[in-house]
Amino acid sequence: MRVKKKSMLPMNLNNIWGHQQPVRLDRRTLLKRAACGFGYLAFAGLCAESRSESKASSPLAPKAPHHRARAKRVIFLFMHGGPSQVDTFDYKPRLNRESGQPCPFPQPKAFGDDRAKKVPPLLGSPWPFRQRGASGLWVSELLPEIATCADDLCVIRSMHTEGQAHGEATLRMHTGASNLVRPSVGSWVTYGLGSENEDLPGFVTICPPRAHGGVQNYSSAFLPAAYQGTAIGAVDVPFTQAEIPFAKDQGLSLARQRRQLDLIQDFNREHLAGARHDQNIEGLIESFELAFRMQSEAPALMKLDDESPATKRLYGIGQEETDDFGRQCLLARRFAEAGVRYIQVSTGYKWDQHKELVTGHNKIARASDRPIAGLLKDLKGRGLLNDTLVIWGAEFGRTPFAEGEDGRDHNPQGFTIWMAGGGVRGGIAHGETDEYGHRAIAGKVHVHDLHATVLHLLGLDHERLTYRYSGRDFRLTDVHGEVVKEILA
Amino acid sequence: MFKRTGHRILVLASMLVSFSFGADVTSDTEDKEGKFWSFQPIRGVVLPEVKSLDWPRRGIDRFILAKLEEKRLAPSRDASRPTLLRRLTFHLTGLPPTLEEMETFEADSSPLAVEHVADRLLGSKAFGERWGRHWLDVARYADSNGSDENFTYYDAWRFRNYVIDAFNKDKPFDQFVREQLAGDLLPSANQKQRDEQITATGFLVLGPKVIGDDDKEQLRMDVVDEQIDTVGKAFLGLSLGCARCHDHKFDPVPARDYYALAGIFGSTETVHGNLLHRRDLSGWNLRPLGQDGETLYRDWKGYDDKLDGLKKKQEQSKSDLASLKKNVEKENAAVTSAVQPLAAANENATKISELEQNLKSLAAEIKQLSEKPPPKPPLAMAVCDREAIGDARILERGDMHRPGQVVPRGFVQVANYGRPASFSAAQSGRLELAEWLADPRNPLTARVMVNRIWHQLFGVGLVRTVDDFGRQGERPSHPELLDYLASEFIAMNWSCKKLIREIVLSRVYQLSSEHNEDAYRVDPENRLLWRMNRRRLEVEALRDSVLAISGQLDVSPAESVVANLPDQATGVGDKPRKPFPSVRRSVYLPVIRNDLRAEFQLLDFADPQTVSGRRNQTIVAPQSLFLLNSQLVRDSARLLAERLLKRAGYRNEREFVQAACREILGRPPTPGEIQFSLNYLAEADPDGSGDKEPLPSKDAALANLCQALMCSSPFLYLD
Repeated sequence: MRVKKKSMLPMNLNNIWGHQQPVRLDRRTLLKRAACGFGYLAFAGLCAESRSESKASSPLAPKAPHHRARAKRVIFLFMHGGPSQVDTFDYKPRLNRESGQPCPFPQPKAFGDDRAKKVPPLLGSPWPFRQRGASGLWVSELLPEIATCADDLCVIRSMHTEGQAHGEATLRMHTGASNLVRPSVGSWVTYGLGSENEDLPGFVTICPPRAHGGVQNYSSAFLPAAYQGTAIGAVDVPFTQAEIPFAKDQGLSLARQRRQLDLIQDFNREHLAGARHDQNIEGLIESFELAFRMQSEAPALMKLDDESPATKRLYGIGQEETDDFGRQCLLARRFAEAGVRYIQVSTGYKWDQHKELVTGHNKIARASDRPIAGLLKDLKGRGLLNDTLVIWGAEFGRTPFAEGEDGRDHNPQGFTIWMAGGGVRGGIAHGETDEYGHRAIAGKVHVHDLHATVLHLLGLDHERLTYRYSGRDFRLTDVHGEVVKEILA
Repeated sequence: MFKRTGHRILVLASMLVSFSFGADVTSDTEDKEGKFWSFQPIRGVVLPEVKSLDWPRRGIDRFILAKLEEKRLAPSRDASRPTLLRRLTFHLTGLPPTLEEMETFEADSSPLAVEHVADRLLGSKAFGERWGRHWLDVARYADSNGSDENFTYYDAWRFRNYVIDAFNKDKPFDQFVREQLAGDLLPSANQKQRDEQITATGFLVLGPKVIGDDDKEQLRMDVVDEQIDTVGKAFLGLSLGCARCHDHKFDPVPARDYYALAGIFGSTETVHGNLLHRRDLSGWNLRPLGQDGETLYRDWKGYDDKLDGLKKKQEQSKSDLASLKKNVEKENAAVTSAVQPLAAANENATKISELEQNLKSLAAEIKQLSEKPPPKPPLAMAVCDREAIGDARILERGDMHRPGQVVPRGFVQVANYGRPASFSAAQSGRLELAEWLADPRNPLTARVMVNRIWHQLFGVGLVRTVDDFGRQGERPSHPELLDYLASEFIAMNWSCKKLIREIVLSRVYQLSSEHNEDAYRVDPENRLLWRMNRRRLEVEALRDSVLAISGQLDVSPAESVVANLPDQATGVGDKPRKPFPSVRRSVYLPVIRNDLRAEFQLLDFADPQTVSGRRNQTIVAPQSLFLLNSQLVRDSARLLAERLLKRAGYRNEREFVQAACREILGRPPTPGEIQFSLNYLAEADPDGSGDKEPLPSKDAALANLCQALMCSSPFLYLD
């Protein structure tokens, strides 16, 4: 057998990107990757200043994980506002029995004005619970469609976090920190793994919230800009108008714009010829080509027209209540299929029922239940659920006692999230809150632990995924975080 | 720039074995006592000897040339006149030169022509708008809090305008430092000066704060931390924040130093009261301005509190009334057939009518009060000293709830130069700190600032890590030049304008940016400045210039631009956010943390979360999408084409192309550029794809050409 000629570059790319794991690329791969990519140009910009001749791969080029990955990508369904754990997945018979009685445990520090002057009554769940599927997982009537996927759900009932207010807790859920600006989970993941499609952003967030940290929830902070989340629309933009910013031409047909672009490139090349050597101008020329490819291809990806009626029905598209969120979930699947590494979908700030729990929760549950179940079934049907990690959760949960007459307050002390797909056990519930569903007491999972687990499932060691900034190695989990081994498949 | 990429560049630089200016050996950077270079006193330096005596124009040039000669490199040739004018005009004002300015400069054959231009630009008010913005990057200026609850900073603009004015007035930098740290404690000759100095301390208040934090002591400490971090980076080029939890790992900054400063800022009122009378939201300190500001503000606050009290009473009564009525209903339902106890019914009826009466009078009182609000004085975000002045305790691992030993207030010891740390018992110590910073003997203050100025003019600092002069930062490429500039700066009475003038009149500043293969091989990063660095326009310069060229730019200064925003600058609900159309200069656009304007986000605007002396310089595809498809660029191109057409005298397309290039690129087109443009305009079927779409009208094609020029690198980059 012929021995393959080794053509390795002496450069250790991982050093450049802050990895500790050595990966060597052969020249061909390197050149291929260096020539294009959404993020390459960001890198060229950096390189340019150092005037390094070394061409390195795009920051979005796929990178080897630290260990075998169980999931290749993440879809995070963010239930902004905080759904109530005791009304969804955390069944508490005692709470229901004692509903209306004065709350027997001390309340956390008052939140808001002049509340907590008197002991609030316990508030049992208005929604009946049933055991579902072969696993017998408890799910309430609030989410009947998700309930049909019970055997795929890995429910964590013992989540806890800091931050009695939305802003602090939302930032912690997305970035692991609230008092300092830190890269978001999606940015860390994309930094660690690159993306499978370099013609698209590696991290997208569909209709993200503007408040409670806003952009900070999907910013790359001190990581290079290539890893920042690209917002598709915003919470206050109807999904049908949501698009990749500035990817829509302003009146020129694609062919005419191509001709205009050729003219731009003529100017650029003339300038480059005069300069004789300039990596920035080279980068600019590349960036226009890539922008044009995105502009030509993204609209087709964003349009859901080629999906079958059955698929659309699955997501509740076409029905008034579920249409908007259904489209968002379907787009998430399309991004997942296209190789985007981290995708977030947000419901909007709709789960925050300080009063009128039943009306409010019913409304947003109806809008999101079917689309989410549709997403799980669709992913499964296409064989994508195996290596896609779906996460459903919010910044915190809600109190088991009443606020006012018929609302619930924020509850960071104990709440529920679930995951499904890539590498997690389906049909199980991990951890416990107390008998009222107030505080996590057993198998506690802090937000840092959740982050460590998500990275682990993606093949990344949260202690090794570091980035040096301001003289220090930073990581998503700071000095905390333990992988929740019990939930791994 | 440093924020995201500094270390990346370090790694890359260290890979270049043949060239290692970035990582000088320590023997060079420490003195006999082992003192790191940046903590050593600023040295008086003699101008170095050079061989080519006819090349240098100013002292600066001797330092540059000496190093080049050492490496046997020759500087590139001088930049062409149009290039130089464009460079100067953008660097000093952030705007392109006008046609008239180009003509005047071309016609000025005096050897002092460049000086004339420099003096004209330094004297224009656009200068302060440009250089003020550079300082606002450092001051992490924003019009909203960001962080967890993004409340609008309605009064931040006064600080913004204070900074712009300071650069226009050429306020001596040492005074500028004193005012931002302790303006409220400085003597003032009159009300105007007092107000100005108070406004300056907004510097300490502008940072992001977790104002919804329910642990208020922690919040105060976090704010102190943010202030220490900002002051450290902005004035000293030191990251002091690390020392919150432990002695600094790399720089000789022990935790004691950090808590010595924490005592000063802990004795300062920054967080203050509650927002919107909500207990869960902390407010920030505001100070009234004007002659009778204090009295007016006291009255206004009294009024505001009273109104809030009444509104709360109203809420309470409403809810009492509702539950009473509900109870009565329940009781009524329960006793349907039985005879209702008369006494109880009466009692309830009385209560209800009392409550209703009460509500009525409350409503009337609220109405009356809200109709006649007392005048509210102008307010500035500003600090004052707290009543309790005191030293801080070291906190174990920075944890508020693990207090340790008390540390007396003090300065950063490693940068000490013999000024005794004695603090007034009656004041926070900010004044003493300000004096310590603004002292000519302070080894860092002048060095850090002249390096910032150099960075803005050359695109890279002599120390590239402009916010980090510590061990993790880079070493200066020209240490003697840095010290020369610092001493000159102090000798010029800390005048930024004079220093900028000195630099732009140097020969090295006026070099061409052309590539030179020989020099490149020896110094690929151009650390020795054998040529000028080619740089992209910052987002403000890009936006302002397309507006200016197309005749849209409104150059009038602005006061508040966020007065119409709601309390929360980014709504918490899902109401669409109002767009903010504006044709003012970019420095006057709102800076909303966590919700920057799209073009600011895309084109590397300074991150307003923290000190950003050096902006990112990314080249990513979404920027190109912005240039190709944004309303701003499309509209500006169309308007420019219309303007050019209206201008009489264009006989043909060639002349149009010439005019467009002059307007957009600041120079006549090259023959190649004329050819591409004419080809583009001449093509009958521009796409050749059998597209059935009617051809763009000639006007549209001219507009497309203008847009293409606005997307082109000779426009986007300053040669």
